[in-house]
Amino acid sequence: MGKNESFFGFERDDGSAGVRNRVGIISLMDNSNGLALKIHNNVRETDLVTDLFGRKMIGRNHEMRMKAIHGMAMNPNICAVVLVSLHKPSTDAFAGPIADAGKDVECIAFQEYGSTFRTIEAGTVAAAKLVRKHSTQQRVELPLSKLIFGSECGGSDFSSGLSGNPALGHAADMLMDAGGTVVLSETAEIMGAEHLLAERSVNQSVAAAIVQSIADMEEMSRMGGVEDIRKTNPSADNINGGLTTLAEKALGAVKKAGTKTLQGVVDYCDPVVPNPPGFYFMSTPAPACESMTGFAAGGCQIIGFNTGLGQPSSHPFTPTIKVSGNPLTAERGFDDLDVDVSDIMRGQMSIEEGGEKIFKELMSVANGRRTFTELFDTGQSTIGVAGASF
Amino acid sequence: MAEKDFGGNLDALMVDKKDNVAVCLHDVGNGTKAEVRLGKDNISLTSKGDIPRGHKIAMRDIIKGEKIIKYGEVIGQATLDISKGQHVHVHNVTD
Repeated sequence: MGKNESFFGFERDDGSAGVRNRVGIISLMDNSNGLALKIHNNVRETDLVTDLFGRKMIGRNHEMRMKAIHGMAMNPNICAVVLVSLHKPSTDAFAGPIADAGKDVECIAFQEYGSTFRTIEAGTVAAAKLVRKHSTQQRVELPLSKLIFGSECGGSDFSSGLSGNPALGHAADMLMDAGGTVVLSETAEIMGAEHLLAERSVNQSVAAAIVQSIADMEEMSRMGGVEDIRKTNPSADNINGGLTTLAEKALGAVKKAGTKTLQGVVDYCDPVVPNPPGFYFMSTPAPACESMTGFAAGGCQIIGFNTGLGQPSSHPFTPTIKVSGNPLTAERGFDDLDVDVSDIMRGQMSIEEGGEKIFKELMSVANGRRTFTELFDTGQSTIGVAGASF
Repeated sequence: MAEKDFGGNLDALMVDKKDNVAVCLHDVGNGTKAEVRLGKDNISLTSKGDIPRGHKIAMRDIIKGEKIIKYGEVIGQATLDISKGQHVHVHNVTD
């Protein structure tokens, strides 16, 4: 395989491939978050997902949560899972499907110990044994068709649509040309450009699905008391900043996922199955952590995150490449910044050159280069709650 | 009028060659000979009116009803005739 057609990754039993080989510690309830955090801090080479709520959720939110947690446990970057919770019924509910899928999983339930610190000890020992066991796995050469890249933006300003997003989109196109898959998200952000995505769809069914995603979101916002979510965009801030129409705002966002044919639309936290590889849309809430949690649960191994103003988040399970095209942000010392494409705004770099720089980083991260946010361990997973945020 | 904070000699950026607008990198005063970058090339035009940072400048004459093209796509249409070099925004564009 050629230089830009393969990467060195960790093979998983289900045929997927990770760019990292980490033990995932997942807290299943808010009441066990503190325990899971201490277990994570006790053992190196673990990644932590905690969340809010967890008990007594019902209906759609309960189902979304089940999907999100299972999806994150199955993320290819995670070689083994430690589930931390209040009681066995909850750990067992998730452990069964994870084990059936061929992944090592340990259950740590507080009520088995009746003691905070014995729980933490048990989790620490379990996590350490898993890290040690899997630390002998080597990277092997694998095709780029196994890579799924989530394209994200947040903390946007007028530089986002002009430099960072188009550059990220060019990198996305380069990855897809080499056989990889790219996922766009944030349903509210594409409102105004859905007709264009429909035109770019591979068939009528996908075109209908993208239009339906927007319609569903508008319906949910009406139920939440926002009569016409379209009328609120662009906002007064956006207009002051120069954005004139909803389509202009949405197009600036859509730009970050390249120019390819839309192959499919998936629901929040559903697996992205690259069959065929290419461009996919996942319906997610717009806030970055909720969107990135969708990517992680859907199987993305890497996220590219463009921010104009600066934004500190990342997903704990998915190395997140922070990009900015705003010279002021770079100059102010945005320490998360992995790829600076602000020279586009200085007229010293073309959008294509910016895209090549991002793609080069993407390949490097796939092969093991660390991103700043993964080193800082400041990631945050947030499972969206239906009807709460758009 | 804000200082030229970035862009240096560059006043505006076009994203796509099909576009009929560019975005100003800093406030552009009336009558400025503006340098606009597209890819690796520069285009010059004279501004007609003040255009704030982040706002759009018309790269050619646009007639009322004509589509406004940015990112290579239609973002709206002109509600008035717009001259090359003029500010393009909510006062002369609709969805």
